[in-house]
Amino acid sequence: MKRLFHFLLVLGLASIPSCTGQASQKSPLKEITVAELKLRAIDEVNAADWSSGFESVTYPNKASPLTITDDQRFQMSFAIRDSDRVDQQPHQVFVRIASATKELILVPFVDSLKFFKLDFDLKSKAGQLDNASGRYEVSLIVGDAKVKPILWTIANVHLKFNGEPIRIPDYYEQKPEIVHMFREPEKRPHVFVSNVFSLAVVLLFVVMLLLWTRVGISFGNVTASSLLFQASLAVILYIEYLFYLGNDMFTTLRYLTWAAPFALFFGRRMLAHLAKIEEQ
Amino acid sequence: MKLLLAISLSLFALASAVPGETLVLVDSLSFRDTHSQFFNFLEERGYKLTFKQADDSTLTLKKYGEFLYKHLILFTPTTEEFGGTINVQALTEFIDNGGNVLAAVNSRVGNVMKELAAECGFEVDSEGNQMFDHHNYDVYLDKGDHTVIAFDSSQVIDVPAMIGTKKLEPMLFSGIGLITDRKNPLVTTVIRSSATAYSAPASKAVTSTPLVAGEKGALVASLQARNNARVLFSGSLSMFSNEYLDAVVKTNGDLMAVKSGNKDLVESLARWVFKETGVLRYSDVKHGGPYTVMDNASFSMKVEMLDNAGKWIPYDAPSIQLEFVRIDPFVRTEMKREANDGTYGVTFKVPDVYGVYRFKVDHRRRGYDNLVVASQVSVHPLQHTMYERFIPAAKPYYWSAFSMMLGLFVFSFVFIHHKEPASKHKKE
Repeated sequence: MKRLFHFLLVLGLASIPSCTGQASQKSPLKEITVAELKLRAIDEVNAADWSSGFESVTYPNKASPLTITDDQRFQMSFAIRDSDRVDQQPHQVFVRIASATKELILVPFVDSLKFFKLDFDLKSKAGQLDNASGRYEVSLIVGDAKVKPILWTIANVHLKFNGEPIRIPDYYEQKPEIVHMFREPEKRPHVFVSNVFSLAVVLLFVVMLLLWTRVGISFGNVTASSLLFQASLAVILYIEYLFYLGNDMFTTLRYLTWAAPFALFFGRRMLAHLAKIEEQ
Repeated sequence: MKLLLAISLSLFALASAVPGETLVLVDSLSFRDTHSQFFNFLEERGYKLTFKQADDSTLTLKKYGEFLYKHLILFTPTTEEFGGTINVQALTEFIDNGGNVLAAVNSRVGNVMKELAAECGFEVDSEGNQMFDHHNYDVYLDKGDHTVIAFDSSQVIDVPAMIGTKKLEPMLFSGIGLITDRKNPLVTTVIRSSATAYSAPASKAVTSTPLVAGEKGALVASLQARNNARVLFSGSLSMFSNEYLDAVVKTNGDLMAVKSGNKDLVESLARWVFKETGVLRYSDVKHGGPYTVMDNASFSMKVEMLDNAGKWIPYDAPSIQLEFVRIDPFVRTEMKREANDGTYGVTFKVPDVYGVYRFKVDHRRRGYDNLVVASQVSVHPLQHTMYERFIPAAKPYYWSAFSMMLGLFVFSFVFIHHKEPASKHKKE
């Protein structure tokens, strides 16, 4: 008798239409179904009228693909009923809009006629989806301790956001490689051009020699001191040439300290000789 | 620089924990029995566990300014306040000083644990909420409310340093959901929730979006602080229990396991959080210098990591990034493994801008210690003899200089030695 009473009590608990609450023990799960599901994407101005423009989908079929832009609203309405066509409100009724990396979970509200309704402005969810336009799946997740769960992929939607996609930098990501941009060498004239000008410079020297042959020169004043002066001048010029080739300043100065007194000494002798000739 | 090296080496030596002193705080000492397999595993690995009741009035982490423990296990879901001198400040100070924390709660999460989680960059759902998954619950252990949820390795982060290299069988979880701040780079979602799972109160149907729902939710999260201290926060204490470690998993979905993967998972996670895996150290930092602009610079260093047996073995990353920084990085390149002893190195051309530079390594890899090395070097400008010479385009200038020199010689020779012919004078 006591056992029968207990059995009746359990049966009574299980038959309460609203099947929320923590079940204390396992009982067979009730079959439920989603009925009268309809959905649409609609502009703000026409959003208040729920009477037309919806696509109806029957469980477990799939709706035709849908595009939602971020100035539109997404609206959806459905009922959840058991096999006796009694409206149910399970613990979990979520609409999940997700791509491989982004996810948005929404909880529909229940209206006075026990219909679940979802009505949201895509722009308001842009932040949660990081403004990532692209293909998403809309699915309905229904679960409760006492019913068989439903996971129904209702439709593929294409979401279009106006804003720039938000990217959160990954701390562990390899940073991009940086290659230093070296200063570009300045553009230089062609070697041919510099050769032509070098030739012009050398030609001037040759012109001087040619003109001398026309004027006529003679070497009547050769003395030992003048030749030695010329030799020391040649040495000084040669030291300067070595400086150009790569000697540093200090070596050059050291060599010059040796060469300069000779030039000074013989130069003075040579000038004295010249002055003597002038006097005569 | 040598001093810096020595200091950082000794820091690493301190941080690379061989099993050590561990304080285990529990709500009830019965956890020693219900979670004995997990504790035995730690003791076998050499950890010295000190069990204390969470409200013990003699609790303290520090004595004479020194920390008494290296690691801390907080199996204290319901504790509202710890006894003795332990509070959230003491715990964060412990972490700031390199201590590692393993914490687990369940649906009855106390205030102090929520605050600790918040300090570490996680948020625990409201007290009393539970993680549900009506699509993946375990048919054996679940009591009919679908809170003993099963998850598989696809939901576990794929970082071998954290979860081991073994393939994980489906695992069980029951507790509360967490969320991680995705903008906090130090926080990692170790186990994410499934798309159909959510954390909510059991008493009534969910009418507003739960804090933790879908794949953004976390079941277990971790923090690796900038000082390489590690924190692991689990929404489920049962995950570590003997019951779940030994469980046979069979879900209403398609997950199934003769023995749950919980044992492999919690053992790997414990080894990670107590710094047995993913621990790095460096030595032998070598580079030349001072350099002159556009020289070739070379830098090399040796990096090692701890292996399963607690020995230092060569690090296995294929490359480590190196920056050459003067306020901003001028060069960022990859050091490749040069030798099998874990030496990484690279040679690159120094920029044509002189100044004081730093070689800088800031190696980050999820699950591993951060490796930060810096060494200063100066880059000189060119000396006056180092510029380019004998430029073909400047040939006219060279020739004009030489012809001037030759001209000076020849002209002076002629000027000095020239003698006007005498005949001319006579004519005049």
